[in-house]
This record gives sequence, structure tokens and C-alpha cells, in this order.
Amino acid sequence: MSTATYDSVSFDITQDGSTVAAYFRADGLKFYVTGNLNDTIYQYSMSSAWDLSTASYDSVSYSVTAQASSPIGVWFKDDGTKMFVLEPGTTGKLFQYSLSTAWDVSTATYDSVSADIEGGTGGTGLFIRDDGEKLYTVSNATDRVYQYSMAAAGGWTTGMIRIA
Amino acid sequence: MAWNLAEVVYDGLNVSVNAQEANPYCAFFKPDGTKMFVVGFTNDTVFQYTLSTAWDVSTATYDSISKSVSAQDNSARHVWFKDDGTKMFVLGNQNTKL
Repeated sequence: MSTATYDSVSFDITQDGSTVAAYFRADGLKFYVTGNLNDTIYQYSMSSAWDLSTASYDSVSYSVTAQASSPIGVWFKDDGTKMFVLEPGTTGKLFQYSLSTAWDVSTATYDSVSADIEGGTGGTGLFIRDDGEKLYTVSNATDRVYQYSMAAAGGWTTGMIRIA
Repeated sequence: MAWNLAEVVYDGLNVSVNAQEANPYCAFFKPDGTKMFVVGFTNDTVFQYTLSTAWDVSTATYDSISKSVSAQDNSARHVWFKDDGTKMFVLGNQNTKL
């Protein structure tokens, strides 16, 4: 990483005045940005993979304000059918959504599944391993990175748990 | 089936990154779980860590390697790497730019 140099390529996110998290699809052709001014996930495409100079807004978004009044982290299942959103809120929570059309956030619906996270109201960053079995959150209240496991077997159940 | 938030459990494992960043906002991992990158808006810098046990954050140690992105944004919030590690993307809040 010490060898990194700026490519002088950037992309303006004009849809929201407070951009706080991003997720890039593995093929580099789509990315998503969390705006916590409008509590919305915005969807973008790149016509040339991993080249921000070719990026454009898909005019597709999804408001998560019913669950998350100040969302930050966002992540997707690798097939684009699930979306996860982190919100500091009053306790720090993760929320789970299903997308009826893969990678189209406008088709998201809330699964009524959430989980509390470590680090409480300082919860910010979210990372989920490619196989969906490990999950990590960041708290800027405790300045720590926390590690979780998700079950390796089982269906998409509905419910809510408290992470001990 | 993984990807089931209803069954998530805390592993009891964590690591402090306060020595490098007082307001960490995002962590990103190399696909093999041996490297972790953290960015925050106090230093607007991406910090690199090595995990001696892959995917176990409690084994992370700072590599004394970092990259400032303050010239691009003074409120860095997110970092992302292409899988092969040849591209790094940073999301800024000050300028609302990637």
C-alpha cells in the first residue's frame, strides 16, 4: 500500500450531501454508496470495470430510513440478493434486506431481521467475508474492530437477536 | 446457509486501532484474510495491518505502513481494494467524492 499513487480520477456523489460508506461489486461494474443525509443507498455503474471516470448514477436508490435514521455501513451478498446496513442509532444495529432483482437496490425489502453490534453507538464500518460466514464492524467510539460469525448452515429466518 | 444475520454471534475477538486512528470508520480485508486496512477521519490515512492468523482480528499488528489521502479529502470515510490489490478507492465525506 505504501506504493499507492493517486490516479487523479474521482467521481462526484451528487445524490447526497453526506457520503459515509461504499460497496463495490466483485466485477467492478457496479458500486453503491450510503448517504446518511437522506438515509439512502444509491446505485452506480461503471462502463469500464474499476474505472471511476466511466461511472454514472443508475437513478436507482433505496431509502432505509424506516429502519436506519443515520445509516453508515452497507454490504451485499455476493449474488446481489441480500443487502446489509449498519446504523449507530441508539445501540448500534445491523439490518438485513432482500433484493427481488439481484443488484437492483430499488427492489429491496426489509427482512425484519436485525442484530445489535459491539461498540454501541460508535458503529461505523461493516465488512462481510465473501462466504458470508465472518462479519466485522468498526466502532469510532471504542476505536476497535469487532469480529462475528454467521451460521454456516440454516435458512433465511426472521427474527432478532442480541449479540452478547 | 451463511449470510444469515439472524444467526450472527460475536466471536469475542476485537483489536484496537486507536494508536493509529482515533476515529476509525471502516475496515477492509485482503481476500485471504491476512491483511486489514483501516481508514478514519482524524488522520485521513489508510493504515495497513497483518493478521498472523487469517481472519482473526485479535492477531492483527500494525505494519507501520500507511497512505495519507488528505490531499483528496479531509474527512475520509471508506476504503476499498480491487481483489488483486492493484486499485484502492477512498470515499470522502468532505467533498462527497470517490
